[in-house]
Amino acid sequence: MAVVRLRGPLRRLAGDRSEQSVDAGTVLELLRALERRHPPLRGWVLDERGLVRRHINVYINGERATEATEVRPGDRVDVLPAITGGRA
Amino acid sequence: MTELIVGTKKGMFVLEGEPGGRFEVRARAFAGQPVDFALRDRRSGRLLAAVTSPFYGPKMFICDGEADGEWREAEGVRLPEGSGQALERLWVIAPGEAEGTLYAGGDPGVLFESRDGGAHWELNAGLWEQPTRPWWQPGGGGLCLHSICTWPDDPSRLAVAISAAGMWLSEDGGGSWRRANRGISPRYLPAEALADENAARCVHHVERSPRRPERMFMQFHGGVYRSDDAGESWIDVGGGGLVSDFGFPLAVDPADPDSAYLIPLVADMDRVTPEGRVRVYETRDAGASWSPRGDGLPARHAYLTVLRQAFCHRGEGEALELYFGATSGELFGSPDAGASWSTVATRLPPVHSLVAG
Repeated sequence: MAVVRLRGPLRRLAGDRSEQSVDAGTVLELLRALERRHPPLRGWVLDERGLVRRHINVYINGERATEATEVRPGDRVDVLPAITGGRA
Repeated sequence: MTELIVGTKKGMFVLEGEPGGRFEVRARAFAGQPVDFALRDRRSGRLLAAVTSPFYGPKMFICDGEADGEWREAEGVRLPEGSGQALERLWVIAPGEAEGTLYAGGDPGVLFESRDGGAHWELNAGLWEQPTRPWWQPGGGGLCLHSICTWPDDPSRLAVAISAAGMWLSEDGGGSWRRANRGISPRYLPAEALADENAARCVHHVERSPRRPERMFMQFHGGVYRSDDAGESWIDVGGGGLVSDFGFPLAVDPADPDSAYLIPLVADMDRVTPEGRVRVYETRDAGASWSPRGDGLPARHAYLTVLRQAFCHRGEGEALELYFGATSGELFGSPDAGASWSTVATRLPPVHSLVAG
């Protein structure tokens, strides 16, 4: 299983647990599994198209990932709000 | 005491004060987040806020206490998965006529309905499944459904406006819809394109007169229109003394179907108050003539932008209170139907929406 780390409001929506284990083959499957486990999380990371929202970044073991990126057992997955400088 | 619910670029504010006086901030919620629209449903006392987080997307939140209390996310404010589209933003929330009913409009040209006071919402299928939807053109702010006009005591009759998919009417509570753009003549279209019902009709704001529901006023993208037949057809009332027929905000006096108020901006290429003066234009003869009302408003080097949802009213007739907010963070108010004005609040974030109660 991969270990997912969430911060801020995402952590609160996911049962206030900063880390949790999820069994999934891809980032999209992992995020869907998290939504099923924690329904309040639905719509906060993935939009209705199944795309990670534009200003959310997913990292696997420190490497930037997309919805299709493979997730392996033991991977560390970070879901983070992106840096959005340039706008007040 | 009047309460103002203010949606801003940096959160929602609740202000209160006496008409004609200065208002004080009582509470703030959603600090740092864009609140596109917020109101208190006067039937239940519940607060509702449409918040578009740049990180987490558009959400609707509700609160049964004070604004600095606990908010929870409303359910169902999303598009069907597999549609290939995502909800971009909520533009407006409006109480319905039936008990507990509310409507919300958003981008991409969608209408939601709640029958339990805003806790749960459903997408209006009749509008969502319009066969012409693939040809609808968005305006500069997106494909936004921004105006929702109910019919007093008749939940079956609805009118909505979408920029730039025009006016839509329903006589069966939103089950089916038809276009209602007859008489609207966009200057940005070649004459040959007017016959194309899918050509852009960039309606900016529509209000219905509750005292005579067949009477409606429309601020268009260049043009002001009136309908006397519930939106079936529109006549141009944008001459008669207006400094400009471009703008977004529009209000009507609930007591008088002949009275309406506009806040014109220079033009689409220069969206500020004309001539560096802030003026509200009033008609008392259904749009035949318009008169400026600016007593107490900034009159020199004042280049303000007032957004479409940032103009509201409370009461009616001679006691009609009018309020508007600018992207400069200033709020202005009139306690006497526009005869006199004063600054109600300053130094707020850019004002997106304003609802008085």
